[in-house]
Amino acid sequence: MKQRLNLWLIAILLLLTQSAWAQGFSVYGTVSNVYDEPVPGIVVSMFHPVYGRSAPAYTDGWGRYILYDVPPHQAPYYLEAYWGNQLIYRDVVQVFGPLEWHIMLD
Amino acid sequence: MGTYDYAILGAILCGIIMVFGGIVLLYKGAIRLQVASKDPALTVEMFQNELKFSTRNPALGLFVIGLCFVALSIYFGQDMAATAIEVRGRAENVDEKVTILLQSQWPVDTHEGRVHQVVRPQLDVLWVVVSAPGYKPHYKSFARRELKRGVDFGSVTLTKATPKINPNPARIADLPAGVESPPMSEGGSFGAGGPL
Repeated sequence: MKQRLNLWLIAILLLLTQSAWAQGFSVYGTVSNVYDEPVPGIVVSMFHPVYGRSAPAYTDGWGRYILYDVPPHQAPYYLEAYWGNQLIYRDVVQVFGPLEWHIMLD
Repeated sequence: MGTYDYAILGAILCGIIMVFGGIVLLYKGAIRLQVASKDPALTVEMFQNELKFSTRNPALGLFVIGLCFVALSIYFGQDMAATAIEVRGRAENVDEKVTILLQSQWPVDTHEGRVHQVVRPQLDVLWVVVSAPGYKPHYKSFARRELKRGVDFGSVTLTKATPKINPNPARIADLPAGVESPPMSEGGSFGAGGPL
């Protein structure tokens, strides 16, 4: 009886873990220069020591970017911006919900 | 490759085996083109009996069936080929790395918030975004009928929006020991950058 209860608990925990994984959040914002002008065509990507690297997002004509479905995690993410292949920005961000993050470059 | 692709390839293979097998059998003398039966060995009716093909030579029938396999496979395989899109064009007046983004949408209907629908993605409209760092992106749409010829966005002149931004070490956070930034080529492990 106790063994069966344990199995049920494990199954529920697995389901909860799966739904937690499925519940990703959006990370969005703008990329601008020191004159507060939008910077288009910038590659914005995130990486995490556990999950690896996200698919890239590209800033539009207004400097806006969005990364969908980023799973929350206790350990921080690293948000990076690239000018072509060159890294120009990196910061540490925590994702526990939708995150608005504006990047200023100089 | 999915089941459909394997079925198409299998049908093409069958057709080729039938044609080449027929040639081998003719060469070995197992069948002869001169041998004719009283009744038609094969009758093919197409386009609602507008076109009728009949032969009394069983050997010829072997070739026709084989060729039908190949022709029909190529015809039904066109959908498969439609997924391969040739992209052509030229971005003028750009000193930076140019990226071409292809975007489309497949809306799915819901009933009281629930979704259960099989989608066979077909490109009705494809958006081509020509993007380069520091330049305003250029957008161009292509309708489905245009995609068969590939995507040719022609010559695009991008407008410079901001001067080049050089890396500033103060804006690049250090990584803790043991943590390395994976290369961009490894992107796609989670999340998705998408259209706004």
